[in-house]
Amino acid sequence: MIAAFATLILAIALGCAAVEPLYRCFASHARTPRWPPILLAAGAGTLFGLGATSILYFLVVLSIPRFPLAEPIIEVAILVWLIYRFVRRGKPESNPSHARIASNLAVAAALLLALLLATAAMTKSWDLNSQGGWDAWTIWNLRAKFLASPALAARAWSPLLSNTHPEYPLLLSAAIARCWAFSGDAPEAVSDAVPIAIAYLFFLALMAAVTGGVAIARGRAAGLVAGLTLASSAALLHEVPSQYADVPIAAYMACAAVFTLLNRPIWAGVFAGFAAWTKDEGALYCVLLLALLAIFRRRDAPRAILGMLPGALIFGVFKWFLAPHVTAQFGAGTIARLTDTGRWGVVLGGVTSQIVSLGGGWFHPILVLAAYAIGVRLRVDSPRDAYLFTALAAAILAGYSIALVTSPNDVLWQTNTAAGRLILQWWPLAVIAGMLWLRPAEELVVEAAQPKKKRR
Amino acid sequence: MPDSTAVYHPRLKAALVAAALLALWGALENFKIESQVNRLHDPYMVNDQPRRLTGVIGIVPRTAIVGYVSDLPDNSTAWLAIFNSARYTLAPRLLVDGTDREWVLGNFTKPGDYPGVGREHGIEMVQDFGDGVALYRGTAHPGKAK
Repeated sequence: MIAAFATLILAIALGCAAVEPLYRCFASHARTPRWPPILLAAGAGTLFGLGATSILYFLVVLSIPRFPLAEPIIEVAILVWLIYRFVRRGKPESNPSHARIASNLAVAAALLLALLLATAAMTKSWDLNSQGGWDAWTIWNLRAKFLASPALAARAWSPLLSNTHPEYPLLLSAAIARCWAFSGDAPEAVSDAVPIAIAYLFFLALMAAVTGGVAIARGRAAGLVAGLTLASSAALLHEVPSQYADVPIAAYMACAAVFTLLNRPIWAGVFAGFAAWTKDEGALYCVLLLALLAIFRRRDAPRAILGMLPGALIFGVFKWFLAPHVTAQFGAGTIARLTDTGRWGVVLGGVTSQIVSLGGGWFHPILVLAAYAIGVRLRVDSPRDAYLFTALAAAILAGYSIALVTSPNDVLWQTNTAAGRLILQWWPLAVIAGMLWLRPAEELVVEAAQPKKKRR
Repeated sequence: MPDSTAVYHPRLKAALVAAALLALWGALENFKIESQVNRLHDPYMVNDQPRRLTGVIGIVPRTAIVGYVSDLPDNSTAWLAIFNSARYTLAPRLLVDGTDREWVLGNFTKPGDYPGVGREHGIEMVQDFGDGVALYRGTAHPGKAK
């Protein structure tokens, strides 16, 4: 168990060390206190670490299954080099001065409290159902068990793997397998604590990346309110203990959007590529992001493609050469299904219902955003960004609806089982897009007072 | 460290307080819902399978592709639940439906003539582990496991 968590910590350390130059860059940003870059670096670093080490583990298992230890050896070597680079560069520049705003502290406290409540609710699930939901033990963790035995790893995409999805991408399964493989436990006795911890880390990383990223781009209050909106979204919180790949892909998609917003197209591409290697929906996300970059920010598109290469290449190689070709999404009957108004009625009804049900009871998280919008009022600073991110959120929603309509499965069953999880992938993107239509709160500061100096 | 303090416009202050309170309401609603939903403990009994299948795990090599026979109607929800939970427990052994394998798992919901089930499928029972679990040895040897 200790070895499994040491492997997990190594992944996070590696990721955080890799994104440290980004922290350095944003921390020296004028008017920005230190916490937003720290949150963004912690969130993006965790996501990068989990994704990159998962890919490395998969490649090692594929190429040298007899020597899986090569994977942590390579990681430690890279980490040592990154630490050396950090030490050589010295401490990041001291933070420029900024005003402390009491209301932001109150909102931050509320965000922490909301996260504590969410975590307390999750602990009940972890305690009673440590194995996670149906898809956890029939898809993601099952395939992790195969990958954790390097000599038998090919079973994770074996055509014999009926009643499940051997063609699904493997980022989450390989991330879990990597920890299990070095835990020292027998493959039949691996600990549920590993997938639980990884699912929770993806959730925390999503929260940190969105809160920190939006805070850098649109001001501290906007970042905190974006975090509050997600932390009160029951549909999102409910999926964390299920140990599915939907929260991880939501985190990668949101992180890619955040780095697009912060004009870091290579990093945006990296996280979009990781989204593709997490779930098939990530491939759609890559295509839509590139198409919209080509329209709104033509210069960024090639750099985003460059960033996407690691995730997209491994996704492509897996889909073309390894995974069984079982999808009937685009075969005979696709056009007939696409033009079937009855199917559209079911899908649009289901998608709308899931958007309405994002909160719990009478609550809807849009209320948090609406309250903030009343306070700051609408104003678009960069129409290009507002249109880009709104179009991205809209295109994802449209793409998912088309995928549900054209699915060869029974449309009602497909919508009932998948629409909720697709909407939670989309929701953080919608929140980020919403913030671009609002005035930054920092412009509504009415009084700034210098603290009293101590008498000598 | 910040070198000054600042305050927002009263309208924004009120909006932020409202946003914070609304979010806490949402978090509380989620807590209430999860408390109700989570009364059901391991509905598919996944965590009970390692205990049931310990004997099989001890005998069947990890590299084996293991066949499967059950007394439930094929591909019903109940069949899928006990098949998939057994598959997860036995991994990295690969559990596949059908009896044309060297090793075959019998996973039953009711007591019955388990050796007879084996004879029906042309396989021989190796051991009855109780609790509806039996292990069979098939005549088919499809070759090296992949």
